[in-house]
Amino acid sequence: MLKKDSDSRTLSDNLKLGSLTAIAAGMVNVTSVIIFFSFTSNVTGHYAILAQEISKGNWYQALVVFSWIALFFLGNFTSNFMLIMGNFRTRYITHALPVILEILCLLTVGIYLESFYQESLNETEFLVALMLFAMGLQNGLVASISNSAVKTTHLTGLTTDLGLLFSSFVKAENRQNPALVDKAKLLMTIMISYMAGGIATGVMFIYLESKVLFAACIVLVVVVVYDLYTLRYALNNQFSSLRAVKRKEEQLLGEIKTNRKSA
Amino acid sequence: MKKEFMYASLFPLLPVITLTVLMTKSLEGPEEIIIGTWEETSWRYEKMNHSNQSQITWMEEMDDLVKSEIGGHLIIHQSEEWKFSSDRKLELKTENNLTKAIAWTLKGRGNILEMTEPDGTIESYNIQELTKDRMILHFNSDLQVRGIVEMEFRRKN
Repeated sequence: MLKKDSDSRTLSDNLKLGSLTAIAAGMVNVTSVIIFFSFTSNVTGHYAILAQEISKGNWYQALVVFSWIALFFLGNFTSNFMLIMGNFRTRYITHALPVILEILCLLTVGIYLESFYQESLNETEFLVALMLFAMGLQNGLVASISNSAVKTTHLTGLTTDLGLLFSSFVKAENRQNPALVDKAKLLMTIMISYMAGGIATGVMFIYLESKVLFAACIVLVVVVVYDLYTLRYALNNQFSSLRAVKRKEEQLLGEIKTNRKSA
Repeated sequence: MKKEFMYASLFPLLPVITLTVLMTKSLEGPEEIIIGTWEETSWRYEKMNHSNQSQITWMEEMDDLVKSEIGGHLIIHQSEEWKFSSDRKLELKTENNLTKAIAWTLKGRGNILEMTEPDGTIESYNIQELTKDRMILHFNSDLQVRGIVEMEFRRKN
């Protein structure tokens, strides 16, 4: 999921990354709507609200909404900045860092809600900003490493692409085009995952309340740990094949020695 | 490398400056403006079943019977005067001087007024307008009239 760059990614990599991060985004967005009455995984609506507040002369609200948009922007910026400037030993660590930072942001929001939240407007504004930053981090990472094939925090572009795709499927040649079919599979998976995350959160919130954010963190931990596990598995495989080669080498050397002695 | 980091550090300044302005309270936010006593002046509703559905029509003021039927199930039922305190207590006073104390909070960007009764019942209202002397609240009603109910308040000196 995270260990490959945009040029070497398979459909399976994008499906796994897309579905898991879309579930997390759906969970975060529904949680923020329930608790704060504000969206945190998309900013299109915030732009409209910003324009509305400016036109009404509500400068306080306009500044709040502007800072939210700026935080989402900053999340995307930070993510890509880490990818470009990250000088780590493996691509995996570079790609995992924004997800780890996102988990930390969501954990902070979850812990704050559980232990300190007094329901003041300043707290709400700050926590929404932190969630938007976290979603910006996620969006920037998945868009960057998938060459913009995967965007999981908002569904406007995805719905547009799906509309275009399905209309192109009117022609039989497009229905048989594997690249287009794969794209449709990916977009549908992201859409369904986002919805599933949202619905599950709506139901879980009744029992867990703000603790539901920790469930979103668990989904993101799976994203990080999955590659760590497969990396270990791949390394183990490589080591065991190296060991097998070495054994074979020793065996051959032994045979050569015995052959020489007998000769 | 240094130039790249200097360029990159400019961007985090954007939200930091904005949040600093908000934190220093140089602008008065809705949480401060709402504090005080507000007097209910009118209840109107946006008629949804109008023949010309493309136009939003704000009906004239509701009579007391319709008002009590719509508001009967609400926390704010028959309240004429609303007193918001900074400790997030809201005193609702009826014309018979009966008072009811509930908790209030603002959500979103300060556009949602949430009220909580001591028994945990929660109601939310959209703040459509909030200025020094006027407040307009909206809520969705499914009783008697389908659509948005608008409540207007004037600040009481």
